[in-house]
Amino acid sequence: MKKRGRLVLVAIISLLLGAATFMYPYIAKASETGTLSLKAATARDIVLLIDIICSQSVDNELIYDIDLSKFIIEISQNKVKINDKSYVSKIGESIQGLDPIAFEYSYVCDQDLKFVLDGPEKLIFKKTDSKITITS
Amino acid sequence: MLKSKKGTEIIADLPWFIAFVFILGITSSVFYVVIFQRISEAAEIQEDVEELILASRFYSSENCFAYEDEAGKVHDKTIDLSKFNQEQMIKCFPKSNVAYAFSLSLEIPGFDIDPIRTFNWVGTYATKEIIEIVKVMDGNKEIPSTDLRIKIKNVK
Repeated sequence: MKKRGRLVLVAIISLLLGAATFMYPYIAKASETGTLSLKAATARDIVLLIDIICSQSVDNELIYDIDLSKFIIEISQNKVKINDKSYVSKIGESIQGLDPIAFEYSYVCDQDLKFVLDGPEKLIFKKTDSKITITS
Repeated sequence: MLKSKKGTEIIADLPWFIAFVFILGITSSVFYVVIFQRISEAAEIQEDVEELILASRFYSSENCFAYEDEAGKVHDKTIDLSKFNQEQMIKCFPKSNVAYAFSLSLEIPGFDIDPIRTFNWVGTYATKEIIEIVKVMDGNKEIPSTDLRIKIKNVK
């Protein structure tokens, strides 16, 4: 009985290792080409755009023309957070739910920005009379 | 004397169980590292881009140290000496989880100006230094071109 139990454990370990080895390339590829990479890249792009617009003294407008309709973007407390719409929803000006693999990145701005954008197809960063707005 | 047969069996299988949990933990950790490392690499910002964008605010923004004249025009790469202090730095560079820290110093003959630093600057060591040639306004008096030294370090 003892020997059979041990064999079962060895079999389970072997199966697990085999499955893991087989799945590695698929998971890596999915993470590179899927929404995870887009979330990470988008968070950093938006942060750079906010850094630029905050550091300039002139009125200007920047357009980020990338389809982000799968995401809800939260900009507040000097952070940009990209949430997947399948995990969270926008209720008023706040977010309900929790995305376990949300990406966030920090920016620097002398203004207290607070925006929640639900599934934007593009983002428009505007600075007019020193006031910054971010719309879709 | 009664011996607990089941208890002996459990103790005998314990090393295998420990090995199983250990391997499971290692496999999960490797999964996690591979996936998130690849994602981070895919979204990496090119070196110099973010820190230079952040550094430009110091001499371009009226909410930092750029000189604003009476007509309201902000002069790029012209430092207002009256603003060049730690209180203004707090307004210019509020607390956040940003990856870079900065230390600024102005070298003007005849002036003893202390360096000013962002909230996240610790120590004296810097990974990089950039020098911008700026004008300085001391009230209405213009001080000719001087060096604004911006030390940068990655704090992540």
